[in-house]
Amino acid sequence: MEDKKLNQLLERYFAGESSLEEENQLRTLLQSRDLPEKWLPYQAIFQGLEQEAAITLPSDIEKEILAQIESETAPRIRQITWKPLLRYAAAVAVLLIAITWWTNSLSEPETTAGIDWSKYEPETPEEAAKVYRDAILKLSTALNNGANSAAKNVKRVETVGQFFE
Amino acid sequence: MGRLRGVMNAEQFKKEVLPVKDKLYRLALRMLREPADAQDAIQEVFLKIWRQGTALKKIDNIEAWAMRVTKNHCLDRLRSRNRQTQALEPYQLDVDDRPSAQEQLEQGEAIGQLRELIGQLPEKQKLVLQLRDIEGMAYQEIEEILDMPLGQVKTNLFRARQKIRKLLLAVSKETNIHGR
Amino acid sequence: MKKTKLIFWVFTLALLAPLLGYSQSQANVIDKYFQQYVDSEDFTVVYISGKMFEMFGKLDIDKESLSMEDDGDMEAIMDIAKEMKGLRILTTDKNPEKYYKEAKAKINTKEYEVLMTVRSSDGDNVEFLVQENKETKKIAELLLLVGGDEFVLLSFVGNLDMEKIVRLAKELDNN
Repeated sequence: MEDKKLNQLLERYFAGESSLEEENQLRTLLQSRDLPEKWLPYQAIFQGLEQEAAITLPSDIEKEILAQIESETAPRIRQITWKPLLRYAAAVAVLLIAITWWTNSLSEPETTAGIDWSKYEPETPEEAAKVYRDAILKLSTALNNGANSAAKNVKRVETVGQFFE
Repeated sequence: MGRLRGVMNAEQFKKEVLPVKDKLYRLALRMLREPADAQDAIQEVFLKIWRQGTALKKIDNIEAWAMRVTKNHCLDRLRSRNRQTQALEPYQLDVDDRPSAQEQLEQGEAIGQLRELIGQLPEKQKLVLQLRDIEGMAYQEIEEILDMPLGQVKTNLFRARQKIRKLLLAVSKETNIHGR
Repeated sequence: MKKTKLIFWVFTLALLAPLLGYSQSQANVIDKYFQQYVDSEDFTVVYISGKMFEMFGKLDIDKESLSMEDDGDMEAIMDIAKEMKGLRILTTDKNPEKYYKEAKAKINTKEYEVLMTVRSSDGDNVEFLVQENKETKKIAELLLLVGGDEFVLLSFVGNLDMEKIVRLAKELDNN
């Protein structure tokens, strides 16, 4: 039974048609102790392959490699950690300033261009209404003066016609 | 192995890249034959890899990529020395790596000879055999590492195995398997 | 990494953008050109905020307290008040002509359109300027500059209908 399987697997192997799984099977089968003589040469092949696969890099070489890398690492790390930090610090600073400025301008609408207008406000709405009235009247008078270019004291009037037909 | 994450530092390198060292070494050894040469080469290869820095993160399969770098590095080394790779003596490893005297006796030195036989194969066949039968890699990986289309990979593998069998069976007296 | 940086900057700029637009929508000619006058001792400064204007509607201000003779006039004035966002008054009796000239020179005619200039022989010089919203035809800011015995700068800020103002003026003229 095993014989047949072994034969089949070997045929596939040497035909270059075996899968990795089949090759693993072949390897296992050829490892058994009481292998018939006819299979021994093949056992030798696979054992040889196994040996080749067992070769490792000597540990002192590995240590040398690590040492070299570490010696290249030390100054590098310092460079790596600083630059991105600075960039982000700057960006964060800009962001903070922007947020502060924005929230400030949102919460104090009465402060435009740094002038605190609230201290120039009349104390009561009644007072304010009077001020407004005066202003409107003044505006109206001035408009009328201009519109009435016949007024003797008006020397020159230049108008943009659209409002005063 | 796959993809690496995060910034590359020595710790991470040790954990995620260094483990492929043995595979790389075996490949270098197959190509350069001399252990000292291969060891030098591997050191150089790892430095090359390390100096990639954060570019390493973008590589999907670190193992395959590192193998490729190793292969190319060894080719460069071979070219610069102007060597004929075909007719060279197989490498001699340190005493520890060779099969024990007992094993050698039992198998009639067939095992010891395998190294020699593989070493005698043409370059492409040698490498495909190394990656498939020694490293156990799938065809796709082999294609990637050797930059070889599937058809060629299969052909080279077929030829390599046939040759090995022929040569090894010439050593043994039994020839019960159907040959092709 | 690059993507995150881009998103980060877009976000920051988006935060800054409204702040640029914001201050401009609230700006008026005094903020722009005459901040220094506000701090000066020689000047009288009065401000009526949009909120204050809103309160006029709620107050039961009758014509008597405002010395208005006509109910209609009263209504018209209050009607205009509804569209007011702010009134600023700057006035001084020191060097009025100098300030008048300075004001005229300073105000940028690209931003403010001169509506009318009146030069009279007995001293009073008057100039009207507006900042008109071309789409709505409403006036964002109406300026009255007076130079003569005193210098006066009146800044009406809001969403003003010039027709209403002119109609009112004509009405008052007939009184």
